[in-house]
Amino acid sequence: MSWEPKIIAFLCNWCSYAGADLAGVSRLRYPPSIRIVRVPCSSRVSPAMILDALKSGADGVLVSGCHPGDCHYLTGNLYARRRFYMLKKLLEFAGIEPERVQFAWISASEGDVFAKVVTEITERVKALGPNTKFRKVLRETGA
Amino acid sequence: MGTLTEKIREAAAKVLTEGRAEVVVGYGPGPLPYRNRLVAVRSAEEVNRLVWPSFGVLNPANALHKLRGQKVALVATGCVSRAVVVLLQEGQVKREEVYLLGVPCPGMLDPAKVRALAAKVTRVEDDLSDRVLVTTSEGKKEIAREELLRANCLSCRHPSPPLYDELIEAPARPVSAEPYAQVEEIEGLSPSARWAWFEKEIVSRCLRCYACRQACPLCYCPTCFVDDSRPQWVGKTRDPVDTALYHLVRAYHLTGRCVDCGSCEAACPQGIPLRLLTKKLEKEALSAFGFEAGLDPEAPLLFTDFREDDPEDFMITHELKAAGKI
Repeated sequence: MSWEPKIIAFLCNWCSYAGADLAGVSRLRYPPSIRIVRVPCSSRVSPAMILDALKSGADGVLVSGCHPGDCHYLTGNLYARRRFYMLKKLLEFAGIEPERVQFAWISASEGDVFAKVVTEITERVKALGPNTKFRKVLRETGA
Repeated sequence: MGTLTEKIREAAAKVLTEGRAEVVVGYGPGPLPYRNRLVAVRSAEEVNRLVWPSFGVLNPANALHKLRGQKVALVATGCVSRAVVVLLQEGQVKREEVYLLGVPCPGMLDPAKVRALAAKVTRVEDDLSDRVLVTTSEGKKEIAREELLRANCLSCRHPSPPLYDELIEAPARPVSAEPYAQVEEIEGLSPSARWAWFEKEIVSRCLRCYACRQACPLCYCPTCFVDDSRPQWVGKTRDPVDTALYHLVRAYHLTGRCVDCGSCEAACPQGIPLRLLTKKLEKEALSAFGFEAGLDPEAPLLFTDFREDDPEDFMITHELKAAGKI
């Protein structure tokens, strides 16, 4: 059986989650690699959540929210953008492949963009191979 | 050396007798010739316990958390004053409860560099001139002060305190011309070499004693994320992935807050280059957002502010759009 990556997606309730829903009802094709966590806003996502996903065995993480100006809470995504910029720089500095952690703006009407983004991320993570650096492997006990 | 020590004592005695503060926190002599320890002085008779520390490596601003509710005066070099500014911005300290005895900083000496000079160092004489006289088991040595300075003092961008109530005269170091040289060295490596560096220099050496967190004047959460059990972000064992996660999130929590006082590194029993992660974030905040921590108590913090035109070319949707794919 060939290896399929697992990608955890944190999607904001108001735009990106609805965008993913639209991709579904429009019957758009995209890889089944994605596991969606619905969050109230992209700014709800803390770096510990992203790193915890990788630690728990995800091969990639996607965080997606509303486009700037579209945020249900008006400015949540604008705060999030700064945080993600800094997080991405820090992860790159520590040598974690930057392709594994991705950020996107996907609106509720962009089902096609959601499908495209998932396809693209899956291809990139596939090219990198499984996440072995940042995955916590629990050792057998008592052996 | 004597004169700056005398000026500090004089100012501390005045602050205590005039009732501007109940306690003065500064540095006193330490257990070794290349150590200084933090001391709290509560009366004018005690001020002789204070000295100008050549090895003042821990940040006295950390004492504000323990002395909350009391009027505290701090001997404040650039990084101490900046840490207080961040605490003021974050509402952790009230302006009227802290009195800053500002000292333009000539830079502190690195205990590790002095200890490495000989088998035994018995005396260090630092008159803040170009040269330091070190007496060792192998005789007296005269060494350029610049060579013995701490890494964070060599890369210091703000030796003079941006906020103070009174200023004690001292010869400040010039602003560093190459503040990010160490960071750029790591940036120049390939991603796999950077990961190897991160694993070797930081993750594999860490004991997870959390001394870096305790020493940091800006790590004041009553419950740190590493102590959370539901959800448990960081496992309790020394699993390398948990240690890596700890270091990344610890550094990240200091984004736009770290004043590069180097307390974390000074407290680390393993000599881990902890500062490099926060220094990298400092560099990015300056280049992308023109932001520097701890300069203006009235200004917003990096993460409590945004601009409409903040960079977003790192986002995959931006990239796909530029490539005409969406």
